[in-house]
Amino acid sequence: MRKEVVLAQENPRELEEDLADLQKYIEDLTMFLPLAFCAVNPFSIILGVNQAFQDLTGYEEMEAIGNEIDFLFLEQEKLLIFKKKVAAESKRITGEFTLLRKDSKQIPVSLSGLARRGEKGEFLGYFLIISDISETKKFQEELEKKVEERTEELQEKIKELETFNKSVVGRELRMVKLKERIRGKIKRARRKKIKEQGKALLFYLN
Amino acid sequence: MKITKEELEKIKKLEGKARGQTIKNALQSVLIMEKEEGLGKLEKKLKELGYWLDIYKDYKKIKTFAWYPLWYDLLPIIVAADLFGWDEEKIKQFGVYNQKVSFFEKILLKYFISLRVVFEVARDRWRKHYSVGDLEPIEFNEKEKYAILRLKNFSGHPAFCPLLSGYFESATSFVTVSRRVISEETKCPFRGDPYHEYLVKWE
Repeated sequence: MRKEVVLAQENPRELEEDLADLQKYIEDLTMFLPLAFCAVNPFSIILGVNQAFQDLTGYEEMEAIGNEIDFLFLEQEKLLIFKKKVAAESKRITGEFTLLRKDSKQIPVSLSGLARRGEKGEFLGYFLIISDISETKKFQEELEKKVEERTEELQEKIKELETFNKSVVGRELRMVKLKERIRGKIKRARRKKIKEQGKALLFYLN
Repeated sequence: MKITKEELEKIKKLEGKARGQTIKNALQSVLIMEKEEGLGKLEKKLKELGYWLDIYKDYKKIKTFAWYPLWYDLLPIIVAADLFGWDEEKIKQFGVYNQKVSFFEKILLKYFISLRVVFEVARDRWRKHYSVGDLEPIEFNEKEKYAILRLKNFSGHPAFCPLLSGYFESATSFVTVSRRVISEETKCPFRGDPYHEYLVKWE
């Protein structure tokens, strides 16, 4: 490995070509990425953006580069916490924010940040990916609205059922009571009849 | 700042090399400031003067890390400043764009971690762009909020002086939350000084 490194240094032309290829690869990849991407330094100042970033935010490359990322988002306090987290963690940090576009439109977005570190682990800045989640949000809101409507419908049905149930049960209860009364009356009538028949029999025997 | 044939010949004879990146930066900044039409005018002017180079046409294909003669970089800058009648402020803005579009500046994040680091590595950063000239960090005063940089062994052209001023201004603004960064050239070989010296102040 050491030998290969020395060989590369001995052939700067080859190294230059490799670096140029690498640069082209990075530029092609970032420009191709359909996700809005930007590179940010430790002061949260934008160093570079791709085409998707310009399309999503409405800001051109030169308007964005050199500015703090803060001007892009509505929730400033939340953003401060997000930035601190990105600087402290080694994993990807995500959060939902409102993007303030150049044309004053506000779009719900998902932010993903990943810290860049030097050889000794020093914080060098971070990569940021901004994804438009307005469609997902819209779908979610529609879904929530539908669920709410269905819940309301169901609640109404339950009410109807309860009323129906109450009326049916009430009627049944009244019928049960009536039946009991009838049964009681029949019993009493029978007892009365037996009494009278007893009396008649005694009279006859006497 | 009217450019003469003699001056151009003098520039052509300057020793030293510039990275392809610097030529790309210059042409891309012309595009930002003067649009496609401006680039067309610059091509026409350079052809008229007899200094047109084919690499300027498809400048995106210039090899970023390769070394080119220094005049390849200086010439379009000087001719553009003359052609478009840029004053000192405009050339300074041109320098700001040169810094902002630079691929080196995007990937060399380790140079942008603090004002002090930006100041201390100025020499290295210069050497990544040019084979001649020595950019020395002279004084850095964080309390008083200023820094002094000295560029020795590099004459170039008077139009290049405000460009560098803008470049330093932009590079400094990347590592300070201050929205107000000012850079001025306090010494210049074209005014009889032995070197260029820049005072960069921030609030």
